Formats: sequence, C-alpha cells, structure tokens
Amino acid sequence: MSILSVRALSRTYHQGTQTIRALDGVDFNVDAGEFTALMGPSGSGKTTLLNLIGGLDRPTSGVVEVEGRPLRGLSPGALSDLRLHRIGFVFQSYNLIPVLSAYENTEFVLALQGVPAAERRERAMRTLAAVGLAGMEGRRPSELSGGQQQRVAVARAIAGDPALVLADEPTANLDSHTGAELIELMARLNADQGVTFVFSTHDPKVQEAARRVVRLVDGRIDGDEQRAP
Amino acid sequence: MLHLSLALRNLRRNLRRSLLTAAAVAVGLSLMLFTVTFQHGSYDMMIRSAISAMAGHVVVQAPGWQQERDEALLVRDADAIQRDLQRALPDAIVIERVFLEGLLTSTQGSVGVSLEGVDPEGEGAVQDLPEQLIAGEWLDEDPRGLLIGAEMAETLQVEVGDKVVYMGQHLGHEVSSQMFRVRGVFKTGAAELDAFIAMAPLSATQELLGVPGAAHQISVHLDDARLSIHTADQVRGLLAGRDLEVLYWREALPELYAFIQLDRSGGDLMLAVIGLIITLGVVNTMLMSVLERTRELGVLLSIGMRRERVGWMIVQEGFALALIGTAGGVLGGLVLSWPVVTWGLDLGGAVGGESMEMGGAVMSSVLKGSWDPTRSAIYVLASVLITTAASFYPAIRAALLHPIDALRHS
Ligand SMILES: Nc1ncnc2c1ncn2[C@@H]1O[C@H](COP(=O)(O)OP(=O)(O)OP(=O)(O)O)[C@@H](O)[C@H]1O
Ligand SMILES: [Mg+2]
Repeated sequence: MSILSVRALSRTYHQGTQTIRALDGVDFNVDAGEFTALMGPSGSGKTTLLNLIGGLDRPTSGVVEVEGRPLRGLSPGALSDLRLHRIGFVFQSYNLIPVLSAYENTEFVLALQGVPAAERRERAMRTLAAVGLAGMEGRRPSELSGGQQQRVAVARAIAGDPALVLADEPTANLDSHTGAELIELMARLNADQGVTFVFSTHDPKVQEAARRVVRLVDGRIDGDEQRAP
Repeated sequence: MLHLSLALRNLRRNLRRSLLTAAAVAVGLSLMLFTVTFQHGSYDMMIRSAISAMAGHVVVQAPGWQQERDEALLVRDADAIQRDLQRALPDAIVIERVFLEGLLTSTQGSVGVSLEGVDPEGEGAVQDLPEQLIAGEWLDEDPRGLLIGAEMAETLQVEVGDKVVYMGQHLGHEVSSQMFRVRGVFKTGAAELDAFIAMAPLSATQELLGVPGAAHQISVHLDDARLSIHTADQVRGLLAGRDLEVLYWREALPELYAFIQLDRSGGDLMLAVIGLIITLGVVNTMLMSVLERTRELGVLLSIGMRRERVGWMIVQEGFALALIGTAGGVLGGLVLSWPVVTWGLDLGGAVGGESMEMGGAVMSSVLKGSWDPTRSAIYVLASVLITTAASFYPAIRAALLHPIDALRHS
C-alpha cells in the first residue's frame, strides 16, 4: 500500500483579479522506502505540493491520503498530531530552535510525542550519531555549520520514526559539495533504515542521488522516472 | 510539560529586554507593597487614636445617642455598669464619659466648650493626651481640676492655676455653673480639639447634670482590636434585657471606617493604574518576542506542535517573567517597607506639626507602617497572575500563526 496517495490535487491562489493555478490536477503515489526527488523550475508548485502533503495547507480540490487516511476530514489538532507522529519536515534553512542544543532539538519532537525520558535520550543520541554528529550533541545551532545544522534538522525529522519525511529544498542554502553530502546522508538513511523521503530541489546534481524523479511544470506532473540507485 | 527551562532560555535570548520588563514588574510591586504597608500603618494609628479619643473598641450608650448626641440620652446606672463590665473584663479598661455643651468664662473672655467628664485614671491610660500636655498635669481626683486645649487657653488668656467658670443648662434644669481651676493645657495639633474641648473629672460633670452615677458612654478599651466584635457580643450578653445600645468601633465610628474604606479603595485604584501600565509593557515585550520568532514558531507548528502547546509555551515564558519580577518586587517591597515599619516616617515637615489629622482622627506625625499580610499577599498573587495573563494575547497571536506564512517570514 502507498504511504502517500495524491489524487487530482489542485490549489489555486487568487491575487486580485488573477487566478494562479499553483497545482493543477496532480496524481502521485509514494510507496514505503522510496527516495523521491521533486524537480521543477521556480514557481512550478513544488513547495505548494509538499505543503499540501504535510497538511500545512488545504487543497482547492483533490485528495491527499497519508497511510490511507484522507487529510480532508482531519481537524487542525488531528493534522498536527499526524505531522508530529507520521511526517518529518526539513526546511531550507533556519529550521532549528536556536536556544536548544543539537541534542535538545532532536529530543524535542520525542518529548512532544510523549516518549519517556530514558528512551528519548537513547533515541536522540542514536539518531544524531546516524547523521554523523556524534560528539556535537551539546552544540547550539549557532555553533554548527550550515551543513551540520541541516543534519540536525534531518535528525529531528527522522527521530520520531515518521512514515514519510518531506524536505523542501534542503540543500538550497548549502554549497554544492555540502549539499551533495546531505543528500548522500539522506540516501544512506533511506537505504539502511528504510526512511521514506520526498524532497524538492532545483539542483540537477542533487537529483542524481534520487531513485525516482518526479518533474513538475506549471503545477502539473511532466515526468515520473524510476532509476537504478 | 515542556519545562520552564525552555521558557527561561527564550527569555535569556534578549536578556536586557527581559530584565527590564521584570524590573518594571519588580519596581511596581515594590511600590505597591510599600504603599500597602504604609496605608495599613496609618489606618492602625488612625483607628487606635480615634478609638482612644472618640469612642472605644466597644461602647455602651443609650439607644439613639450615637445619632443624636442628645445629652438627655443617658445611661442612668453607668457607674454600676462600669463596675460590672470591668469585673467581667479584667484585661480591658472600662471607662465612663459624660459629654456636655456649655460656656467657659475667664476674667478675660468666654468661649463655647465641649466639656468631657472622664475617669482621670482610666482615660489617662487610653488617651495620648497625657503626653500632649504642654503645661500643667493630667487630671487627678480633684473634682475642680480642668484640662483645656492650647487655643482655648489663649482665647481665655488663662494659664495653669487660673480659675475659669463653666456655665450650662442641662436636662431642662436651671442654668448651673461651676468653678474650675486649669490643671493642664494640651496641644494635639487638631484645631477643633485644641479650641473647643475641655476635660474634667467624671464626678464634676455628673454633678452638673444633676444625675449621680450616670454617663453618656461606657467605653471598653482592648489591647487587641481584633477582639472587638467578640467583646461586643460578650458585653451584649452581660447587658441582656437592658435598653442599651452596644456597638463595636466600626459601628461607633462609621465616618472613620468609611474614610479608611475609601482611602484603601483609592489606593487600590491608583495601584491598579500603575499595574495596568506595567502590564501593557509586559504585553509589548511578549508581543515583540513572539514577532521576532515568527519563523521559528512556524517551524514548531509545522513539525506538529499543537497550537495550544505553542500558546502554552509563550504563557510559560510570561509565567517565568512573572515569577522573576514578583520575586524582585517582594524583595524590594520588604527593603522599602522595613524602615517605615521599624522606625516610621516623620511627616512633621509636610504637615507642619507634631501631629496631624486624618479622617477625623488626630495622631502623631511620625507615621509607622505595619505589615498587612492579607492585602500584600493579594498584591503578590495579582502580580504573578496579571503578569502571566499579559502573555495571553501574545500567546494567542503565536498560536494562531499560519505555519506557511510564518515559515516565509524573514
Ligand atoms: N500564498 C500565495 N499566494 C499567491 N500565490 C502563490 C502563493 N504561494 C505560491 N504561489 C504561487 O504558486 C505558484 C507555485 O509556487 P511554489 O512556491 O509552490 O513554487 P516552487 O516550485 O516551490 O518554486 P521555488 O522553486 O521558487 O521554490 C507560483 O506561481 C507562486 O507564485
Ligand atoms: Mg519552493
């Protein structure tokens, strides 16, 4: 069964007299264990799509189902809980709570989930080690490089054991080398731990790591190719 | 949940702003606690001096006397009642009083006078007046001894030892007159006392009335004002079946009690205004802090922190700020109030004398504060609650952020 099912999804914005079709009838499924890149020029609707999948925005029409549950009927609180337990988020930058250490940022999601303290500690430490930040747990975001901060963001996104991690241009603010390293890390987590990722990017180099590339143009799917890893 | 430590760290982000806000709360509360202590002290003094001079903690009077002050409304067997009450209340001081209106004449002039007949020993024990004598001595058993105020002495141009004659028409009898000798001159600082009051031994005034053993008032003075109501009940029990009115001080001094209530409400109102201004400052600080963190709050909402939890987090910051500010305020309040409670504050310069009048009560110009635990506790509690409540609006703003808009915020 698909973890994510998107059917006939549309989102229009009204700006004055203008109607902008940010998404225009998108159909799209993601199975467990996939590592999917959303590609497309600026304004093609990548962010809009990810926001709708994550329940941060409501579609004009169409359906989003996460693990078979349609988001449409969910209350704001239930949507929150769905994001907390089933979906991880990585944003472009300034993702982290500046007053919390790398460890505390990671543990925060687990605390929100109500995981007991001892288990929280063990899982947060393990996750930070998995993203290559062992020994840096006590550092605040301001004491970490941009690449390291994004690793903490990835750690926070996967610590809660979500079904799906959504990352909107996670490498956009990194230099290409560091960006490539981050995508490699995500790919490894996908391969080793089976974490399902859907991430958007402009960067053709970044897409090379993806096993599936979905292309968006003007709010429509313009290509969906599987690749060998 | 989501411990206070996160709240404290968020407050530390802009340490200067947070400290300034907490300091505003602290300074405001310090001043409030000082005012409360100061007011309470002045009320204590007013009540004490008013009780000793004008009434008693409990008074026994003929029905109607309280309102009409008609000299015919006598307690006929006052001497006997005084003895009975004194026996029943050995720790209290029970005294009788007679109040007469008449004319006092010297060789140099005459003046209208309120002549009070008092028990020399008992009255001396409950009044401040013995310390306010500027010449002569307090009353003794000499039935011809008379105390007058300094202004009256000036009007009559008399000194200690001089003769004066009292004339009055009482209870429908013919005009009676009585020679007195000035035994002492007092100066309270209150014009109406110093110009119109004279005091003589009870027996002399009973003679002028022509009713031996009678008085207008039997007053009971206690060490502890809080026992007033209880004692009033006791006295009512002892005098059951008699046609007499038993009042405790609040009933006997309604104007004073009303004055205190009004003054206290006025104080509360003024302090509430200060509190409101400080609260607006706290609201402003918290709003700025929320605004600065819009993006971050958007991240929290996006990763699945529920709106109410986001709001609660801000309220916790307000609560932490409230605790810090209030702790500072309690400390500051103690430091400010301590000297006034211990040594008092001499308002002599401001009121131009050694005594002053407030709410009809005359008292020393050295005002001593006294702790008012109940009212202070209310202010401390209000400080915590209101400062915390000041974070409600910013918290609601934070909770209602739209995650996508907030994430786009730079
Ligand atoms: N809140 C909004 N109001 C109006 N129009 C919007 C809004 N959000 C997005 N759009 C429009 O919807 C379209 C898709 O935007 P979206 O942000 O999803 O594109 P994107 O693929 O993420 O672009 P980029 O690569 O630049 O991030 C664009 O034309 C954009 O201008
Ligand atoms: Mg985008």
